[in-house]
Amino acid sequence: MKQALLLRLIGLNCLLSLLIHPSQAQETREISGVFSGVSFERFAQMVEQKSSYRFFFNPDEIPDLTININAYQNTLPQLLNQLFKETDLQYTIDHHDRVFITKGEKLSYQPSENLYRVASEADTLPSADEPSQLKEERSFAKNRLWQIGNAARSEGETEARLTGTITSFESGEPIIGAVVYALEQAARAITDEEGHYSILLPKGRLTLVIQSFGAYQEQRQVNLLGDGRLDIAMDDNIISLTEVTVTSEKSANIERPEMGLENISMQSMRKIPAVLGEVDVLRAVLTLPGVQTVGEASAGFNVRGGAADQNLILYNNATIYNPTHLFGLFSAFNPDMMEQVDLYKAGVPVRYGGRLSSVLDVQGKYGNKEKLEGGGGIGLMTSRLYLEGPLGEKTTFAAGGRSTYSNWLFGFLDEESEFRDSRASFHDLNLNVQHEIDENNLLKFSGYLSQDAFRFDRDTAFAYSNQNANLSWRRYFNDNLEGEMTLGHDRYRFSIAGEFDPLNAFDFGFSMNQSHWRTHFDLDLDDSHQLSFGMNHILYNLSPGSIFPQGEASLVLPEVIPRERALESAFYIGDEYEVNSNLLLSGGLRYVVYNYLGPNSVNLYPPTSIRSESTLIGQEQYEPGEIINTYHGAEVRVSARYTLDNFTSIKAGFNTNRQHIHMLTNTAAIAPTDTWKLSDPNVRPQLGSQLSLGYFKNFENNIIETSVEVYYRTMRNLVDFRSGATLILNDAVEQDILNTDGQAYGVELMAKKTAGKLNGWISYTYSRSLLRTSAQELGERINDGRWYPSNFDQPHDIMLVGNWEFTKRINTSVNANYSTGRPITLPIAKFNYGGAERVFFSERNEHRIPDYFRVDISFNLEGNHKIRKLAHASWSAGIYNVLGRANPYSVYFAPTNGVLQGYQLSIFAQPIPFITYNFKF
Amino acid sequence: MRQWIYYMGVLMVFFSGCRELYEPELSSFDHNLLVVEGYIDVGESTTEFKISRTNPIYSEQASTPQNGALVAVEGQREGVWDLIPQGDGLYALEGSLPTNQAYRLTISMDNTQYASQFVAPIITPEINEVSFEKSPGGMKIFASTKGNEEANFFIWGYEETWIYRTPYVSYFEYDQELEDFVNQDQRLHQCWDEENSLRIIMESAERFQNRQINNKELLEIPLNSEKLGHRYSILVRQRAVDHDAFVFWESIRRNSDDIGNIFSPLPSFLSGNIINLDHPSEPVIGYVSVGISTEKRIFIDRQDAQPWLAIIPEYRACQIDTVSREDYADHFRFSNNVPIQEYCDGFSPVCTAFLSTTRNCTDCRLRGGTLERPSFWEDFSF
Repeated sequence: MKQALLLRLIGLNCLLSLLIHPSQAQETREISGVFSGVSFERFAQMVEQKSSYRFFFNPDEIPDLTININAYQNTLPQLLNQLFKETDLQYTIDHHDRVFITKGEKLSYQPSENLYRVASEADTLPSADEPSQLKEERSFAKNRLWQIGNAARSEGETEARLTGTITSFESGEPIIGAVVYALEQAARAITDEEGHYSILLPKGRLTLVIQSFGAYQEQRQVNLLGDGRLDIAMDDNIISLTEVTVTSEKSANIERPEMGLENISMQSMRKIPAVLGEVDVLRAVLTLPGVQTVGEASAGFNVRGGAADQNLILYNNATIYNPTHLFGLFSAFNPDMMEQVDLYKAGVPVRYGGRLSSVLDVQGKYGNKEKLEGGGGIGLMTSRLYLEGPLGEKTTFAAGGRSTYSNWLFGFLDEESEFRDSRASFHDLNLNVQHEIDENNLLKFSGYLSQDAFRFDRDTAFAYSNQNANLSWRRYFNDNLEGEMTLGHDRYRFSIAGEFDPLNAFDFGFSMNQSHWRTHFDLDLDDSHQLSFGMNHILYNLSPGSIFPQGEASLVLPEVIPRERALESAFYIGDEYEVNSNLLLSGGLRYVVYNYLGPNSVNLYPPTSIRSESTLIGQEQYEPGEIINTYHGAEVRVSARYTLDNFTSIKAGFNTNRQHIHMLTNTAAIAPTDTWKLSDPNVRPQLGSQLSLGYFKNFENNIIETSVEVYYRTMRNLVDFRSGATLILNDAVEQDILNTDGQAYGVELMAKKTAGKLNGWISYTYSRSLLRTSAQELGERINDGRWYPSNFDQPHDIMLVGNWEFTKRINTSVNANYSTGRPITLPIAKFNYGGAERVFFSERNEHRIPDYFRVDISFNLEGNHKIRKLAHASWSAGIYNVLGRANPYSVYFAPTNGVLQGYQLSIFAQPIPFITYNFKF
Repeated sequence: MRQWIYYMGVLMVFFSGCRELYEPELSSFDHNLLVVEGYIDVGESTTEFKISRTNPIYSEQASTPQNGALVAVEGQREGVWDLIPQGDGLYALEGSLPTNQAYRLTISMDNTQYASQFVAPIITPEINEVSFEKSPGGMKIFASTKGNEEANFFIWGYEETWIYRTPYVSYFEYDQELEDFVNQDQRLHQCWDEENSLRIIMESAERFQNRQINNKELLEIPLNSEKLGHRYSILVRQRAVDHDAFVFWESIRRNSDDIGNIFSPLPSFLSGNIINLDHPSEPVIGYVSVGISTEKRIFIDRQDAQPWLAIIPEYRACQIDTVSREDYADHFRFSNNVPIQEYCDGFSPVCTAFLSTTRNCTDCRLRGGTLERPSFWEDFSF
């Protein structure tokens, strides 16, 4: 050990002396004298006395060497050569006449493997328990000039080979795959499994750069004199690179056959400023062209002029009937558990169906295979936590939960306030597990639970929940065929409990149960045909409403609207056919058979009269399992893409959809207490068709994407309601339904910059959405049977989403949205009736609320880069509605000093600051 | 459900929302729609209709009474009974009608004919009980009844009458000519006041077991209201109507109860069962129901409400002055001051001063009440 250290020190001195006397030439001096029977130690002493030579050796290595030599004007090398002839000792003489005796191998300035580790940094450093010095030394290593190689040995050559080992400073493990290069030089080297590298570089001053994933970039100033060795230890770095963008996806918007597909990555979603700091899937969806909402805190969204119940919201194959918490303030999807979100506005793939307007496909995580990881966030109102990782070799899982503590907010209220007794709570839980049975078989389980409960005073409590579970099995039959089968159950229910008066205490409930079985296959027929086919079956079991008395004293009559059952089966086949490199056709046919099932009783009306209590001619009873009636029909999904050049394409599409489930709502927004109705002999399925055409062009090497899309939609058998309709606990709801036609059309312009310090998109949409009481409807005709705007007809809509990356750690986002105010029916005249002032309303949706305009900003700050931290954190802070504009959410009229006065109500009328702390471990 | 919607609105505001004035530009619209309100009572009670016209939304008056119309009740089989104009848009018909036929209301004016549909009379079941109970907010009054095959949907109205008193009683009056006090013949300290229901109170008996509506809340007298200061009476009127009328009244009720909240139902308005015979598309507001209404009166005495501190804000400022003899003329002549009684110092038989207060503290009529004892009034008795 001692010698090794000694040698090293020598080596270092050596190098330093080279620095100091770079041009000193080696002289040859002669030695004379008789050395008889002396030990080597004595010999060395004698030589030292006579000359300027100094010996360095390990006496243990030369124990039994007796010197018998007669020297006369011999050079020292001559003598030593003679002396060491029979031994394995070697010698080295340096510029300072120092003589190094080594055993076996010659000591050399050249990095001779392992022995002479000239420039290993780690060796030059003191032990790690002196951190401040350590730090100093390490930063020194980056800035000092490393002399490498012996110029003399490779004179004439212009290039030299630099070798070495790259290790992690943290663990000492070799770093595999690190890239080593010198600035302004073409040569690159990559470390092998042991961390070794070897690179041929021109001699002279160089800046050596070492890069590796998961480590900071390292630099060394090197004066390369000849072949040499430099070992480098690198600091680990968790966040050294931005996310990798797969460039083959870049021109996807040009290449894809389908239109109207929007997909949002979780990264971009995180940058969108959110209310109260919650990353929100639904709010992100609202930034897309063609997607609108009636108000800021409303559960539903409207796609291309369709009603909110026409969106199929899927989370890992499960249908989510109410995707929000706290009556629409938050989406019910935990952002940490999401992988990707796709929204199909048109060109819905043939495997999906059942809704007219869109499919929102939210894909959850199934956990990574490498290690257990977790994370979460703490916001002003909610906290969340997730954990993912392997469970054994072939199984991975991801689990997450989120909960609110909004109750404390109510505690701040005035003691007098009637809302002090209010309580609102929600939580959601996710569990996804994936198991790889073998190479070809994959099993996935996905479970989801979300629950909301709130009460606004001591008397009435509301609650709703989504419960979903499904199991899917994916099998790769061969290179061309893969299949997936999913079995699952979805449940949505809500309840209202009224306890204000013991005599009238009640418990109202609604529940929706659906079991689904999906089988899907993808088949690559040949290079130009990609087939997909399969079938979906959904068994609906819906309890439209029930009311029960609560407590002994209650006189409320229990009432249960009979359950509704139906089986919706769809069989589909689709083909993506690449005619040539320019033309891609995609066609699909989906045949849907809907059976309304017993047991149930169906109200009968004469076919040519209006449906009302007085025209009811009877009821027909059906036995369990009996098919009451059947609706069936084909859905067509066709689209074509023609590329004009690599950056330009034209697309066209036509599709039809059928919907057998209708939301019964006569409010503008979706309320958590809206019930659903299945199609029955009196309520026909909704039918819709959409024709769309688009032109897509990319600029600047696909960094800028632009598109123009136009669409025209028609809809039939929509449900609107008679004035004064009762929708809850109505077992003859068909009497209140007005069969309604719809049409919607629009143009969507979008420009998007996908990369760079500044990125984001701007979009403009002009769209209309109109309704008309169907001509066959014999009863009430809204607005005398003319077309009238739907509740979500907002013709002009401009959306700007911009991100600016100051550094990799800090970025800021701006989100601006303008849209025309939604239509509203206004009171236009007033009169006295029933002892009070009443108002007379205009025609349906004849007026509009004021336009909507909002700007949000947010800052995202990644945590510092210290490696030894419990968790990696990031902060997200921002302001929702920076301008503090009081955007009207709705308007209402109330008497003030005897005169009816209009008021507009806004929800977020002030700038709402938010801050969220996110962490990962 | 209603409650839910209301709370939703307030909660929205709580989430730092806010409320601003909103005055939309309204399209030009004929604001003079005909409004008809009333009930054809084939029983003992008076058939009374109020006919008016709608006004623009921002006007001070909600509606303008329609006078000069010819209003009549027409039997489906036989008979036409003209209603007598009472002024102020009111038309009335005394006396009972045959119960064995349907009736309609006809209105004609300015060469325009309006008529309601023929409606069969519904005989309203008796009110079983009008009860009251103290509540944290005051005093709640309930009605209970029982529906039957014909009568399932109920609408209630009420008339409240109560006694209130001034804090001081004046036994004298200052005679301006005599310049002396004379005995006040009439006591002005006790008045009866009345108020009619302003809310629409309705309930469907179908919801309940045996169609028994128990303790339907009609109103809540606010805590420490003057109404229960002495003696109070309420006449509850109950009418059974048909389903369509019930839907109409429901829409009227909703009309003012929840407008414009995002979770409130889309505004809908049913114009009722009256049409313009010449232009059936013209909206006419109102629903004519026919039947026999029933009434029940109860009295509530202050003892029933104890403790109850009836507070009349106007009387809080009432004070008594002592006016000496030499100041009588100055104080009482042509002024608002009223003598209460002579003030006699100690046990002295000579009274040298008069107690005085302002007129509004002795004359209850100035608050709108009447001295006239209503014919139905029963005094408190043990």
